[in-house]
Amino acid sequence: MMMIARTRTWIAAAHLSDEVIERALLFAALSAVSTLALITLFILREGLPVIFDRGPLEFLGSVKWAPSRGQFGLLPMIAGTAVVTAGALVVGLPLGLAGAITLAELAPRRARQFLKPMIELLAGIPSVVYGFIGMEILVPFIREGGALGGPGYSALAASIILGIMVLPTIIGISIDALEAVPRSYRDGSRALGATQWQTITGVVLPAAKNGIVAAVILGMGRAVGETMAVIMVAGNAVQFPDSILAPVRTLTANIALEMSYASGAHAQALFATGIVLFIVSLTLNGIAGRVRGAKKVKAPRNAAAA
Amino acid sequence: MTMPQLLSPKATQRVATTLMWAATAATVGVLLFIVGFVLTRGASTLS
Repeated sequence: MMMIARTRTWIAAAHLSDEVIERALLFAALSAVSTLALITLFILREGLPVIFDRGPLEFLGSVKWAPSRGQFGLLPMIAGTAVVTAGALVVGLPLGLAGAITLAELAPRRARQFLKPMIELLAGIPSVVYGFIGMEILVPFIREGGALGGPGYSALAASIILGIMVLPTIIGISIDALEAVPRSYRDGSRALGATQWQTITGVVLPAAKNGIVAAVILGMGRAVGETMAVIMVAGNAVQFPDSILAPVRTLTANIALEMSYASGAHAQALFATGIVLFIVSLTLNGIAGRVRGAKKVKAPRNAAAA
Repeated sequence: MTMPQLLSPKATQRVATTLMWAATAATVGVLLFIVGFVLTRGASTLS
C-alpha cells in the first residue's frame, strides 16, 4: 500500500516538473519572439513617419543626404551597400565555392579535418580586426602600392574585406549542401566513366545547387549587415559611387556614424535607414530559407536500369 | 553540335584540382596572415 502511494507521489511530481519545464520553455520562446516583435515595432514607429513625411520615392530615390538642411535621400547609401555587397561576392564567391568543393570532394579526410575548423575560425575573428587589417595593409596598398590611385578608403577595400568575411558562411553552408548529395550519384557518374571533375561539375554541383545558392544569399546578408569593418575601410563619403576606387557609405555605416548625435527628424531618418536594412536582410534570409528548403530534384527511379 | 574541348578530361581534372587547392590555400593563407599579423604586431607592443 505504502509502495503504491509512494509511486503515485513520484509520478505526480514527475508530471509537475514536466509541466514546469514545458511552461518555462514556452515562456523563453515567447520572450524571444516578443522581443523581436517589439524591436520591429519600435523601428517602424520611429522610422515610418519620416518616410511618409518626405514620401518613399524621395527618401529612397534622392541622392541628397544633408540632415542639417532636412534632406534625407538614401540612394547614395543604398548604392554604396549594393556596390560593396556585389564586390564582396565577386571576391568571396569563387574562393568560397572552390574551398567548399575542395573540402567536400577533393581533400583527403585528414586534410579536411584540419582545414575545415581553420576556415570556420575565420568567422570567429572580430570584424574590427578585419577592419584594422584593412586600414593597415589594404588601404595603403590600394592608395600607393597597387598604383590604382584614389584615397585607398574605397568600395574596393570594403569589397575585399567583406569578401574575406563572407568566406566561412559560403564555405560552411556549401559544404553541407555538397555532403548532402547521395554517394550513389557520384558512384553512378564514375561508373559511367566520368572523371572526378566531370562528376563534380555535372552531377554534384547541380544536385547541391539549392544549398549553394542559399549559401551565397546568406553570405550576401552577412555582407549587407556588416558595419565595423566597412566603416574602417570604405571612406564613408556620402556620394553616389562612380568608381570602385571612390569612398562609399553603406546603410549600416550611415546609422552607426550618425546615431550618436542625431535628434528629431535626423534620428527618425536613421531609424528609417534601419527599416530599409531590415527589409533587405529579411528578404535575403527569406529567399535563402526558401531556396534551401525547396524540394530537390530526385533522380529517376529507373536511372540505374537505363 | 558540341564545342571542341581545349583540354582532355584528365588534363581538365588536373588543372581544376590545382585551381581548387590554390583557392583553398589562399583562404587558409588569409587566415594565417591575419592571425600572424595581429600576433606579431600585438605581441611586440605587449612585451
